[in-house]
Amino acid sequence: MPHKILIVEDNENNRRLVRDVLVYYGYETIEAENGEEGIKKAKEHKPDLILMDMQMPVMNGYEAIKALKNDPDTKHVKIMVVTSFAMLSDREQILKAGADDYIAKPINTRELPERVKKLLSEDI
Amino acid sequence: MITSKAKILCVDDDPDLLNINASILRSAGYEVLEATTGNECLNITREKQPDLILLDVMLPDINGVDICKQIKSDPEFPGTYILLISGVETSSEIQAKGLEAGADGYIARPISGKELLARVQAMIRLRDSEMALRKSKETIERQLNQNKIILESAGDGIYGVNEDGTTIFVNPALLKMTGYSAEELLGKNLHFMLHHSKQDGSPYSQENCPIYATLRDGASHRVSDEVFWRKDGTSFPVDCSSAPIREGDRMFGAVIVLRDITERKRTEETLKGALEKAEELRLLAEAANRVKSDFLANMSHELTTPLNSIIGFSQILQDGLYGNLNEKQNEYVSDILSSGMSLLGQISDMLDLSKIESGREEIRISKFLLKDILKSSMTLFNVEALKHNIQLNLEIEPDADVEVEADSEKLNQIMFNLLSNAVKFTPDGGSVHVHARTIHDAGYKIHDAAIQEGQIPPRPPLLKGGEGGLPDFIEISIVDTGIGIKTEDMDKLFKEFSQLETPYQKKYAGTGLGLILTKKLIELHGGKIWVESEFGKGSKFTFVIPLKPIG
Repeated sequence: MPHKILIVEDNENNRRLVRDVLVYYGYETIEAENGEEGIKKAKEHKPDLILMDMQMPVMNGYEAIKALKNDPDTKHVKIMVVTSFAMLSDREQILKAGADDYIAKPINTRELPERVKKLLSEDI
Repeated sequence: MITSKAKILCVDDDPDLLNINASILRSAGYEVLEATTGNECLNITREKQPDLILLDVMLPDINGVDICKQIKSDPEFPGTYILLISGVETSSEIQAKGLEAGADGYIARPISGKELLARVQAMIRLRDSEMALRKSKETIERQLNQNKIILESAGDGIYGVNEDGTTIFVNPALLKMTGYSAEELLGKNLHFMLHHSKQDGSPYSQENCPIYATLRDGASHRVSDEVFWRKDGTSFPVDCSSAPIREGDRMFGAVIVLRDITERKRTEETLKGALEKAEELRLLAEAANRVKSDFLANMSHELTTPLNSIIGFSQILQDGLYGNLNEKQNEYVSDILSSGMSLLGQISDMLDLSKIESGREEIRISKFLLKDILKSSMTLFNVEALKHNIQLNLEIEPDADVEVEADSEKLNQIMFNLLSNAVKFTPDGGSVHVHARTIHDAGYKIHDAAIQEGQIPPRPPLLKGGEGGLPDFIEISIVDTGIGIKTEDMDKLFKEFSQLETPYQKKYAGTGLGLILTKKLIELHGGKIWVESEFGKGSKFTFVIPLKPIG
């Protein structure tokens, strides 16, 4: 069974980019356009990992992470934040909000699969 | 007893009588002069200025009354007293004439030696006390005159009041200030004329007036935030003080001194206005800065989103995740990728700069080996240097092979920016040399005005073993054999958005943010950067940062 990864990202191109990279490396992907949809899909599909954008309409990444980590159905799901390099100064806050790891945008497509693999192999 | 050795001139045409009188007076200790005629008397008086003349009324040439007139009307002899002497036969009319002419006393013969001496002594005593009186009167007059001059020449308004508060004197400055004449003020209570209302026009009672409090409590008072009123109904701000006039325990009144402080107030207002304006401008600038920062943060997000696609898809294509590209396609994709990366670098610089300017950038101190950062930052340029046949050298002095406590990420950024400039501006076949050493604080007073931005500082003394304290700065120089910088362009170097004009610009692209960002990153560490350059030959950028964070 391949690992299931939920991509929460409002920009369609960027969603497709992440999806195509992950599919190439053999993962199964699900997509959501904002935090709210992300929470819904997470409960529904029970993914192994969520790649979470931070700046999104409707519900941003912070709120979504908090909600997911407070929900017994989803709190075990690993979350990797994907955020603009400019927001990396907020990394402490990101981790404090409950994320397990973070990666800077623009994404390095060579680094992303390695980081995903590593996080999935770790026990929480 | 004779208290002073008075000089007495005896005048008589009878030598026997003259002799007797002179002997009596001499034996009493007086200095005695003698004359037998009126003319002789006048001459001796002129020469010797006697204190007293014993003058015989009947003389052969001029009579005593006339001599008396002459001497007494002459201001040259203010202290000469005259005692007229006459025979028994002299009429009381002549006596009266003599006294009218100014004689100070009259003796009628015959007279005993004892009486003569007593009369002379009395006259001398009278003269002495009159002279003393005259002297003290002169002193008082001089003092009064001085006081008058002081009052009249003082720039401050001055007036005096008696114990009732009635004005007894005013000076011209007060009249000029208030527009009143002396007649209008003297004899009045000036509280009701000059100080009757407060600044807002509400009445001011004398009971509440601190100036007149002096009359009640006998103490000095001073006020500096009140107004006085002119005759024309206008007011002016004053600094006013009142002091009691005392003699022993008794108070006779008070002196009030007031200074028109309109000018001072105006200066204060202007200053206050300027400070308020400056504060306003500062707040505006801060707000503008915040808006700018927010704008840049938003923009960077908006720019990152498409860049994510540009860079990400280029990488997928380049890596052939979904099929291989032909050579030309591969070349184009590489160009897209490197352009995307370059754009990313510029956005990143811009954002960093805005963060530093808004004071939101912090340094994260860690401990690391200086040589590690220097080596790794130079490695990044190996490919580029090889391509242009540029020689890259790194020279670390033994004393700089140390651990430093700084923000390694930012030091990397600093080195990256400086090296990237050096490599960019160095023609093929040139060299870029990096030199690191440690330097003592004394050589680099960070706030030393001598190290002006863009100016060549005096060469700091090298640290020698055993001298000074611990080395506490690292100094890194990046020397290139590039195109150099003209002297007039030096101070533009570290300014925002000022990439130098041609010939640099056309050939060498960039936002012009790199050096200003570098400078700010260095300053965040408490360091300094400066440049030395010779146009056409090359440049040397040098920066210092503390080995450990300061403070």
